[in-house]
Amino acid sequence: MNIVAKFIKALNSDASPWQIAFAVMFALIVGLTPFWRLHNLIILCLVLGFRVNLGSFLAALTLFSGLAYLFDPAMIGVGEGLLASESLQPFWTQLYANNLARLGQFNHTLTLGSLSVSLLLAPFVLIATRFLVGQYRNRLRAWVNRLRIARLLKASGVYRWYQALAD
Amino acid sequence: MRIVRWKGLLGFGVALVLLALVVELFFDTSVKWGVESFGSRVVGAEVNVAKVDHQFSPFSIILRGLQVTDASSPERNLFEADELAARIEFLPFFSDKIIIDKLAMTGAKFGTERAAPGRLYSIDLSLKKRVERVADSGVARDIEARLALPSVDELIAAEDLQTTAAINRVEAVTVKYKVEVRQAYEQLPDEPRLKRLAEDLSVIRDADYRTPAELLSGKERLDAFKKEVQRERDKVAQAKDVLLAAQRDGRDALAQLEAAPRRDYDQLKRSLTGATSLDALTERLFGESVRRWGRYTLSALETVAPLLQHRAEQDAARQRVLGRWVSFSDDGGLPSFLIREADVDLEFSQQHFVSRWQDVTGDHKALGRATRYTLASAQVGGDLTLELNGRFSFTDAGLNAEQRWQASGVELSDISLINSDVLRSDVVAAKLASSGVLEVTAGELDGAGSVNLSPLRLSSSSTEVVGKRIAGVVDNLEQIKIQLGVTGRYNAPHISLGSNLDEQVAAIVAASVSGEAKVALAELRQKLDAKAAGPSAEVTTVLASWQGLSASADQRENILTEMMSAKLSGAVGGAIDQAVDEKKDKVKDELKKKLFGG
Repeated sequence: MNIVAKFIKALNSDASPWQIAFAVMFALIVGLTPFWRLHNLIILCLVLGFRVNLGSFLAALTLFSGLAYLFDPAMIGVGEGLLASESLQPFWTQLYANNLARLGQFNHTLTLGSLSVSLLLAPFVLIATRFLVGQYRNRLRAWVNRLRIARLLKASGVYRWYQALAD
Repeated sequence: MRIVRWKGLLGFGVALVLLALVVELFFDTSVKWGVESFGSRVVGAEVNVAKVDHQFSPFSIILRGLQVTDASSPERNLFEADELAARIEFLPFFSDKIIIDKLAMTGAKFGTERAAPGRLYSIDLSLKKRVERVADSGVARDIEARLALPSVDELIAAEDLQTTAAINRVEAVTVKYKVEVRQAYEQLPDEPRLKRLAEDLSVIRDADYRTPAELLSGKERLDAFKKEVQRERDKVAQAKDVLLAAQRDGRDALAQLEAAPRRDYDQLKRSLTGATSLDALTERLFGESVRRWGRYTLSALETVAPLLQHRAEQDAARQRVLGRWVSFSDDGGLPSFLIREADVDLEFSQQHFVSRWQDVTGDHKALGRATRYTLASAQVGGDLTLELNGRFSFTDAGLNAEQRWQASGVELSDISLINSDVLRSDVVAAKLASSGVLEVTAGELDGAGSVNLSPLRLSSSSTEVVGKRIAGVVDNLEQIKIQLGVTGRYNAPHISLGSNLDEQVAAIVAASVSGEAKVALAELRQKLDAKAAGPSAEVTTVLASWQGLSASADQRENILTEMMSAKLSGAVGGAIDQAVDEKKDKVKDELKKKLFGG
């Protein structure tokens, strides 16, 4: 609830749409790939070190982590395909000989499959999120705020409780 | 707007440092906890580690004061080691693999006393232990029950007597053939029938056949008569077959009935004199100890192999769900767990041994090699020699393994063999030699070996009469050779024992029958004979009657056979001669007329 409230607050705040879009994109990568991996440590560093919206990141991370359970078998299939690809064998062999690359655990089917898919989706998710946040703020926010139900909700104790949590 | 969030970066850095500090400070504790909890889960009993040390380069972990509780006897350790040092490859960790380059264990001992009883974690194992305790007390009760001499009537009622079986057989034979013999005998030609046949034959044979036509008619009547006689002969032959079978089976049954009381007597005599209480004495005296020693030699297969297989199976199941690790080096696919080399320095029965292991894993398909191990005495000089070597590997069909051992000069002293209310026996001193071969195919054990205890000095005592006799006999043993057989599944081996001790001791005890037993034996003999007497007399009578019937059937068959050989009598020949003479005379008269006229 806290995370959802933060995400809603971020949507309605003055936070830049890019901050939210990057947060969702990074959450996509961290959420879809196994958590204890070197690339996730780097992403965590980026999320904390740059002005990426944390509320949006945590909310999206929860969403994508849930989705990952559904898509893991498909991700494993992608990873198997990539690691078994004949044309890529020299590349993988070279990478395997590199200790730093080994720390990245690229030779794990689920890790490579999910990282590849999430990296592939990342630019689209980034742009789509940026677009959707913009559209929401330009077209929907005022309309939503005008809705009777929204006003009722804002006046209710539940909304104040959300606010308190979000702060 | 500034892009960088310095506070965030600082927080990230602080978190990393804290993480490193936590790892450094709590690494040993977490390893200790991990080993204790994982070990306890696997063994089903408390596992303790006194202290853990580690170093990062080269990455190694040292466990000190390792103790593994024996789940079947929590007051003792199944196994204990002073120090276990493992040098672990760092990079394979990132492929979820534990590859131990070198493992060295020192001060390993079996069956040591624990300062406090270890806790049991597995309900199944504690249940198993309770069952074993009940079984043990059952064995003790069994010995006591056997040592109490039974009465003659109890013996006759309780034992599965051969006499009873023979009586049943005699009755079955009698009932079966009484009906068959009666039916067959009723088919036989009776006296009037035979008389009538004889009269018919007389009429046919003695008739006066004067013309060839009469002769032909007589011959046809004789043939028809013989066919009728043959039918009667067939009936007699059938009846004789039945009678012969009845007599044969009857005689067999009678012979068994006559022999059965003697056999029963011999068998019951052993019970009555307490000799059967000595059955499987080898098993009772040496079973537990020899099995324990046997289990030590099988521990590589019985304990280590299942643990390794369990881990390999878990890894395979995990990889199906969480993805697998692909290798791109010459080492092929390393197993998820591998100890490349292990040296174990162990102490057993105050002797030092060295065990060396190579390629310890449960995933031999990935490694492409079997796990090999050896065990040898660390002593230089002296009588003690020990050579044990083996190998095992898991395939799709299960565990395949082979193991050979050869040991001699193993000193044993003060070992309790049996300690029940009725018999207590201890090894005061003995020297053990053992050899054997064991093969495992698809998890099934097939092994044979021997344990030779020579010289052997035992000390036994008992409060019971027969127990004292056993104790006396056992204490006179100077050596014993026990044959071992190993069967069953590799993780639940069955070790069977055998020797000539049982026969020797039983013969000694049977020869020294007490006065009370002698009276009982006479009673036993009389009762067994009486039991068999009635049916024996009955079947003898029946056999005599069948013999009489058989003689009667023979007699009738002879009569019928004689009838079959009958021919038409001299009258027939006279008629032919007369006809020939008449023809000759006629020819002579005609010749005279032509030659001399007239």
